[in-house]
Order: sequence, then structure tokens, then C-alpha cells
Amino acid sequence: MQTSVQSAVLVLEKLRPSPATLRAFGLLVVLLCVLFVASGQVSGHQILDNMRQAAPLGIITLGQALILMMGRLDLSVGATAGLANVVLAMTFAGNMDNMAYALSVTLGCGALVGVANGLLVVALRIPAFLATLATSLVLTGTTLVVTGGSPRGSIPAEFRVITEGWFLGVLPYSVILWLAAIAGLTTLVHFTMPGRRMLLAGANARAARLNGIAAGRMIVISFVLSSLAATIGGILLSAITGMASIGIADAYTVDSIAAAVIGGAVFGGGVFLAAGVSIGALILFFVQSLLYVVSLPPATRFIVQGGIIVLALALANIRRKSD
Amino acid sequence: MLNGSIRFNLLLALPALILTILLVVFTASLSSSFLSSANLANLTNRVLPLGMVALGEAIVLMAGRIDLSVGTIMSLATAIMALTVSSIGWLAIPLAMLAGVGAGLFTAAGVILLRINPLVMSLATAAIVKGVTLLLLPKPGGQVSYDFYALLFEGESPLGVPLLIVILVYGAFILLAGWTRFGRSIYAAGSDPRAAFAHGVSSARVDLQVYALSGALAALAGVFLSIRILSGDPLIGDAYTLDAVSAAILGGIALKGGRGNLIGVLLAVISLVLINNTFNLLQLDTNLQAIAKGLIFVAALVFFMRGKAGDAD
Repeated sequence: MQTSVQSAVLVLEKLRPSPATLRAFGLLVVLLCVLFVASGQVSGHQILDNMRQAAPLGIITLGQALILMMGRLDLSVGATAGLANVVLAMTFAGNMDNMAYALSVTLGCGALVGVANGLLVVALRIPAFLATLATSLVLTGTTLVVTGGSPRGSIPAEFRVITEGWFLGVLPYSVILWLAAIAGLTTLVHFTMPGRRMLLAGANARAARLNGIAAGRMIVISFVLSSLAATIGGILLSAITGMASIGIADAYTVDSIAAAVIGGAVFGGGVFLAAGVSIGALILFFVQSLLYVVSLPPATRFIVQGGIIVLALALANIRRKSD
Repeated sequence: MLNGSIRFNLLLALPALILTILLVVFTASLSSSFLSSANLANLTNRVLPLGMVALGEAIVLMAGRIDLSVGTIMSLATAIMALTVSSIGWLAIPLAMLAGVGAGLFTAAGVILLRINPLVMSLATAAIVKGVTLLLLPKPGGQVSYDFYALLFEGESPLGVPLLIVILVYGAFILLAGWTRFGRSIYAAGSDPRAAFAHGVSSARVDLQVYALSGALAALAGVFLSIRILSGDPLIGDAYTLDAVSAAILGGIALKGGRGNLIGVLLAVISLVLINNTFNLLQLDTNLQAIAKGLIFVAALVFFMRGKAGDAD
């Protein structure tokens, strides 16, 4: 009895939000207040509806945060999500009967990208950001060669329920998927042995290796998970748009980095804050819709993207220095 | 010993030299039009912009940093050219280069003052520059006067002005890198910032200089590009970032800084342009080029980083 109480306390201790997550949450609340002033109304339903649309970015950001935990950067998530979009539309071909086939082929392609990234980094010892940059170039090229520049197929209307539909009219399905991804990755990293090994390999690869952890294998697994997250993000995005288009997901690469650093991700590795980076993704999404509300040109989106990265990292560094 | 000096590092250019020769022999034997004067002129015209942007990237890499914003700075320069040449004439060129220097200084400020990881800081700069470029010029357009084109590219001769510019600029930077205090401080800061600091080299100052140079050279590349296409294009430079890093690595510049020479970079630029040209002459799908570039990049990285076990990143 005593031990079960103790372990419950231990679990709660681990789930306590970090200061970075709380700060991100505070920023989100401030942002919602601004949105309220700007648009005149903010309801719970409206926030959930925004979360529904932010879900692709949120899930992709979770994968990016996992790679950041490993002390690396994945610059191929945008291209991977775009690949998922094209492959899903081609394999679905607008027919709901193909669902099992379409989803397995799409997720299989995503996993392959992750394996390729992981092997480039581990077996060939290429720095991760360059390896993933090369992968994204190859993916974009392959997509263009295979489709000839005009992708075929479409997503059947029935499948689009996963982003349009609400569970019991209360919670959008895509938000449920997002929450499940947060819970799954939090459990993996903080409550299972493989996850702890990954965390240690990310925090200090040499120490991990000296403790008998196959750091290389952990890196490959993290890249597979990141590419799968990008693929799921691409699938959700496809369900929103209903069709395939080239380059549709390119902005997700830098967006996911920006969202992760708002949520407290650090570049040294060894930190994984699933809730924090998800709030980061939501903040980025709200900022982008705020730009839309005040009708600034779409180009400002990029300026905000870069500005947020600089600001978030500058604040994090200044705080670290003063601590 | 003497690792930092260019004069003892010529061997690093050997792989790029061999690749260049192989490509020339291969393409010349497959296509009769390869050695035509028009095609050779086309080659030097393409070496010009990539050569400039790769030079800047190589200098940043020698200092142990990286700049992933060079492609977007090129686009910005084409936009500035397209929008201002008609009103201020040739003054548009220094203006575009000033903008490039500004972008480079912004990256350097983030790296030095805010201690942001150079890779991520340059990505952030890239996003901001892209946004500014798209604000200035939302879609390809504008006009760059034909006078500049006539001055630079007319005559269709492989021994024209572009070749002269490449030789002069590379010559100047080879001298700068190998035979001046500034050049040695780059190598020193790149190979061991702490030891360099102990010997009176401020790595912050080197960062500031290399990022400013890289921004200026990227902008110059954009200027040449806009003159060639006679207009501006807000996205045209994007693909050059990877090409520039690729050329620098293929040319033997060490990714961790402190090693490499610029002759290798020029040869690597030439071989990248040759690969492009081979694809065109053999009339292969242009999209295959993207795949080939990615694979060449990986091959170059594997080749030059082989045998360095134990590196965590």
C-alpha cells in the first residue's frame, strides 16, 4: 500500500510541468487575451477548433522535440509531411476502401525516411542537420519525379472526418490524436527504460555509451519516431486539404523548430517537454492566425517565424546566465 | 603542424580536382556540344553566382560556423536589384550588398551577443530574410536593365567578364586566407577558439567578419543572378544554400572549422556546375538533379568525414 502511494507520488512528481512549460502556458494565456481584444470573442469551442487545425503542426513538433532531445535537428520534417500528403492521395485515389492500404503505405514510407536519416547519422557519421537537409532534397526531388509535378489522387470525404469531426461533439478527433501522441511520447521518455536510454543518449552520448547503452540505436529510433510524427502530421494536413499538392508542408520544418523552442526545447539535448512544445505549437498557430486577423501579408509569417526563434532562444540564454 | 596555413593544404583540393577532370572527360565523350564555345560560356556564367556564394560559405565554415541563410540573401539581392535598378542605376549593387552585410551582421549578433547556436540563428535569419524578400517582391518580376547583362555576359565567350571576376575574387580571397593576419585568425578561431583567444584572436570579431563577408558575397551572387535573368525572383536563391555548403565540403573545407583551402572550393563549384550541365546535355529530367545533388552531398560528407570515430554529432 505504502509503496503504491509512493510510486503514485513519484509519477505525479515526474508529470509536474516544468517552469518552461508554465511560462509557455502563461504566454498562451496572454496571447488568447490579445486575440480576445482583437476579435472581440474567444470561446472554448473556438479554442478547440483552433487546436483542431493546429494538430498537424503540434504532432510534427513533438517529433522535432524528440530529435532536439537527442541533441540534433531534423530539417526533413517538412519534406516528409509533404511526401505523406502526396503518397496518401495517390494510394487513396479518392476511394475509402483503400484506407488500410493507403495508411500502411504512407506510414511505411515515413518510417523508411526515418531509418534513412538515422543510418546517415549513425552509420555514416554525417551531422544530423546536413543529413536531413540532404534527405529533404532527395524527397522533394523524388516526389517531383514520381508525380511529374502534378500529383494525382485525392482524399475521400469520409476520411476527412478525422480532422473535421468531433468526438461526441465535444472534442475534435485530431485533438484526441494529438493528446494521445503527447501521452504516448511522455510515457515513452519518462516512464520506460528505452525512453530513459534515449534521454541519456541525448543528454550525454559518451556517458550513455560507457553505461552500455547502444546510443546509435537510440538515435535511429528517435529519427524513425520523428519521421512517423511528421507523416501523421502530413496525413492530418491531407485530411484538412483533401488533396495533394507539392511543397504544401515545407514551412513545417522551421515552424516545428520555432514551436519547440517556444515550448522550452534546448539545443544541447537531454530535455523533452511534450506539453511545453505542444503549447509552443499552439502559440505559433495563434500568432499566425493573429497575423491573418489583422490582415498582414502572408510574407510576415516568415518574419515572425524567425523572430520567434531568436526571441525564445535569447530569453532562454539570458535566463540561464542569470540563474 | 602548420595546419592552419593554406599553402600546406593543397592536397585537400585533390578530390575536387579529380572529380572535375572525370566529369569533363565523361561529358565531353558523351556529348559533342560540351566543348562548344557557347556551352563553355554557359558554364562560366553558372560558376559565377555559385562561386561567390560558396566562397562566403567556405569562409564561415573555416571559422567553425555555418550560414544557412545565404540562399535567401541571394533572393533578397535579386529583389533589391529588380526594384531599384531602374531608379538608382548601378547604386543598386552596393545597396544589395549592404543588405547582405546587414543580414550577416544580424546572424553574427545572435551568435555573439545572444549566444544562440549558429546553425539555428542562421535558420532564423533565413526565415526573416525570406519574409522581407516576399514583402518587397511577392512574385518573380521587376526589371534589371539589359545594360548590365551586356556588360557582363554578352559575347558568349568562355573567356569573358564572368571568368575574370571569378579569378579576381578567388585570387583575392586565397591571398587573404593564406597570407594575412585576418586569414590566419579565421583558421585559428576555427580550429581552437580558446587557443586562438589566448594568442590574441577574438572569436567574436572573427564571427562578425566572416558572417558579414558571407552576407556580402551571397548578395553579390544574387546581383549576378538577377543580371542574368534580367529580373528578380523571391525564391530563386533557396536552392543555393545546400549547393554552397555542398561545394565547400566537396572542396575539402572541414565542417568543424580550421581546415581547407579555397582552390578546392572553386574546383568543387566547377564540378557541381558540370554535373548540372551533364544533366542538361543528356536531357535528363531536371528533377533527377535534386536527387543527384542530395546523393552527391551525402557522398562528399562521407568521403571527407571518414575515419573520425567517436564524434557525438
